Amino acid sequence: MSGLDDRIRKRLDGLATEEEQKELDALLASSPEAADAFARASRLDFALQRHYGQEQAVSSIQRRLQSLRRRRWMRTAAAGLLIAGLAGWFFARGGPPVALNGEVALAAGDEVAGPATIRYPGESTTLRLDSGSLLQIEAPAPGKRAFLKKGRVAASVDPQAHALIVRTPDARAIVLGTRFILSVGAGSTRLEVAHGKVSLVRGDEKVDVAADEVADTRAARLAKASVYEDRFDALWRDLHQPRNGYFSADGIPYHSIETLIVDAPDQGHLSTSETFSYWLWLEAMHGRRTGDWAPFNGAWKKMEETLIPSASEQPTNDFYDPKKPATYVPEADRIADYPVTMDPGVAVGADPIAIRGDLYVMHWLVDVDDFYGYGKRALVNTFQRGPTESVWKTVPHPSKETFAAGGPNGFLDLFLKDASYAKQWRYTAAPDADARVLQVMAWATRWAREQGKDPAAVLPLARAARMGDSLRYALHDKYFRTQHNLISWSEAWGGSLDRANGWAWRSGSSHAHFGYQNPVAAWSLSKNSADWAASLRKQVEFYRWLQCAEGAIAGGATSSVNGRYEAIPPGTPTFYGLAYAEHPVFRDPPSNEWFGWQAWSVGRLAQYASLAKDPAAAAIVDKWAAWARKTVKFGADGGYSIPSTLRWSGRPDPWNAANPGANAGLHVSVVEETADVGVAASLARALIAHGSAESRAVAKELLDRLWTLHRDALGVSNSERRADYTHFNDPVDLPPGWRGALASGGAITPGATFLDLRPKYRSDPDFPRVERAIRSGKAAEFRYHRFWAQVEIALAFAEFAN
Amino acid sequence: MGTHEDFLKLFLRHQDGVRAFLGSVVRDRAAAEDLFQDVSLILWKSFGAYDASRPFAAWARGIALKKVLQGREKSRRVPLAFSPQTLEAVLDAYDRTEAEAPDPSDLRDCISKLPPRSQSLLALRYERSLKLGEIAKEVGSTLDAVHKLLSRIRDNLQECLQRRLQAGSR
Repeated sequence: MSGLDDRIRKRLDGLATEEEQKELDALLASSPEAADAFARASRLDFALQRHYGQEQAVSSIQRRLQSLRRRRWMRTAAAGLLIAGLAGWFFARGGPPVALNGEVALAAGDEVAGPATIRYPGESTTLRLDSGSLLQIEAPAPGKRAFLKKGRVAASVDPQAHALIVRTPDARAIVLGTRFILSVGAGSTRLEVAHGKVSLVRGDEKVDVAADEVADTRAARLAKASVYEDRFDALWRDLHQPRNGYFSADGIPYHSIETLIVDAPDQGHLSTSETFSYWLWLEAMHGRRTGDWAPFNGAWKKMEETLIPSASEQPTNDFYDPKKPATYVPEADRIADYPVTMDPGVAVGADPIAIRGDLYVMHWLVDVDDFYGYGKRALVNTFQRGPTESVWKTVPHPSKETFAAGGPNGFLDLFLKDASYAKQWRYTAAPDADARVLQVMAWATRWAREQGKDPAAVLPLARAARMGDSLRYALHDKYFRTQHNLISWSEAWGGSLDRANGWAWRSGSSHAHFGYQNPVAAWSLSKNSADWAASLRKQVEFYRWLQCAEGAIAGGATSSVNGRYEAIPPGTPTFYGLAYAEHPVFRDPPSNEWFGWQAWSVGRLAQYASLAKDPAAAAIVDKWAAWARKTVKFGADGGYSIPSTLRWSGRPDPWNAANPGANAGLHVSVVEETADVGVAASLARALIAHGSAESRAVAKELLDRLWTLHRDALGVSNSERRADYTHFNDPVDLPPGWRGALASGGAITPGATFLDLRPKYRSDPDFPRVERAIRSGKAAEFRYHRFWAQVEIALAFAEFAN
Repeated sequence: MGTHEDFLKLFLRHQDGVRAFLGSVVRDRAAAEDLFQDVSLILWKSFGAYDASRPFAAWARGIALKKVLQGREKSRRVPLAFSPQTLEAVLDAYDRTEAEAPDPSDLRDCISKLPPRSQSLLALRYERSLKLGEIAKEVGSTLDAVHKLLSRIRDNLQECLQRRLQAGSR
């Protein structure tokens, strides 16, 4: 290969450096022979693209033909189809068809119900109809004609000699060649354009809609707007539409519309601090767009009422002694080692925060519709038994333990071995959610100020400050033996219910996962808090310490090896005295595997880097974004895939703040991919926050594809296989001989399963699907509308538009 | 003035030459496709001014180049690969090499003669649109090795196409 050919190939393969590009530019301008070689090579490159693009289409049609031939009854039908070359379509019913629905020829007057893909002979124009849609093929006049009676069609139209016109009941879309989505709602038409231009006509009104714009006939006057802002508004409306079911009757957002879903919350109509934090994000962005901050304040009030325990729900805080914040309880490696025994002989530190009175952070889990029988909106908990306790092994129990359910000691003796047990209250915060609320407040403050408003007058700033103050417990080791200043896995507090024998305790957490860090929250709080200022510095260093050679961020660190303050094993890298933890907190599945942590956490770091103009943070995000972009795949079929599961090898270098190591021995690879809509939106948001042209281009493509492929009547959703639902019948591993009663009635006996502890699942309308899946051994497929994911998608659109 | 049918016939026959040209001078494939759509509309609207004694492909590419340069002046959003002077040189080269445009059936035959491994590599690059780094990962090789291999495969294809052209097999 000559030097010239090599330079040409590098340019066509996207490998040329700027310098090589400049050299090639000069060479082509000065040498006709070089220019001819370039023309030949680029023609061949395009011909190969064309060839393989067609191969794909042809093989798909041939597969359908083979399947047709196998189905003898189909042979007798008049829909036989042969393919000869690209434009050679012939039909048994005579003459070329107007269009094709799969292998079925369509003539004028034929109606097609979605889901379906309509193609036109001799070109690659496609009309993809969503489920529930209805489209009628009309006679050419002379261009192609169709009538969308209801639903939604995503169209990709080759250049047309005569305009293709799609009618709807109240408008017409006139197309010469482009990609667009047309949908018919209740008495209105909506047009979104991805490429090119489409005219939307209603009566005498006409508007030319260009790429990334939208027009909707619901408006009194036909006009166009940014498609991305419009998508945010559409999802905001979907989330607030009562009949869609995102909220309970009394206004609490559910984890998901669907009830049968087992994530970390183990039923869809539970809610979490995560859900509320996303609700606040949604309303903050709405406030930014509309200037109306009432929904944001309403969401805050509901969060406070629902998840922040009231004074009567944490009634014995006045007995709390910061000098003795809690008695040490070791964590065990295996579920079978629970209950564990308190050990007053192990030293604990003093609580330097010493907040008097109640804490103002969210408990993480609430049973909105009384799934467990402790009452509507009861605060409940599940995870308690160490790193191997997956959700399928958890025993749900009330946060207010009155011994009304469970065994003679309620559920306490499942977790803790003691001589006697007292009725008590105890709550656990998931600090990433509270930190997200504070991150949102930082943005809301900024946006209100940009609107010329006094943030203190329109936002609950004092309450947010209180939350920031209470959240400082998460910056401490579980037993206050050190202040690690990272946002750790939990903070917990509790006390007795009996004032005659009053006591209270508080704890931080020893385990810090990179995925929980929130530099935006720390940055906003750092102006008035030395603790948060220290946390901000530590967090940015933490990301840098954990950044692997490829750019992704590895697990985290702990101040208490195995939760028992064991000695740090020799050779373990450390970070200010904390030991590297490959998968902090839980191992089933390992907590470092989920790609969502990458997008969530580094998205926040990217926001911080841009807000604070911090070059150290920006450098980390640059490297991460270059890796993340490479992991995204866009298929020729309009699909996409992003990482789902990561695999790690090696360890970081020991931390040296003055001269951070390159972590050449710490590596990541992608072992599973997904099209999950929520995580795809999280990734898009992170790339948007990064802000380079390349990152924005990948984000845009992801968002456009996600919307085109997965938009449905309730929001955005795609199918997911839940192979893990075979665990419904797994025993939860109770201590030998332990018996008790469920609050909803029924006994808990040895061998009790996940399902036995959640008997209402048996009457869930989707439960027969789980039973069938378990019987057949074939994973069930579900479509979910998780609240956080819907908000994440909405936010991605709004942030892209801005 | 030509008829609608005349335009369609010429357009369908030569659209690949226009798309290949745009794809070679615009860095981003989606931007090139957008430009092609705009150019198609201009060609259709300007067909009345087309001089049928001139090659249609050259006329169409000339209009495409104008559109590319206009886009560059109006905004910097079209990511061009070359300077205006070089764009003109590439345009001239496309006109000079018009007769060498790969024939689809020749290309199919030439591909079918390649070893299976070469065909697989081409499919990864052009069917799955993978970048060279991704291909390297998929086949367990290095970026440089994949680049060299693909270059050799395309050189072989080019030679095969040339032989067929010279033998008058088209």
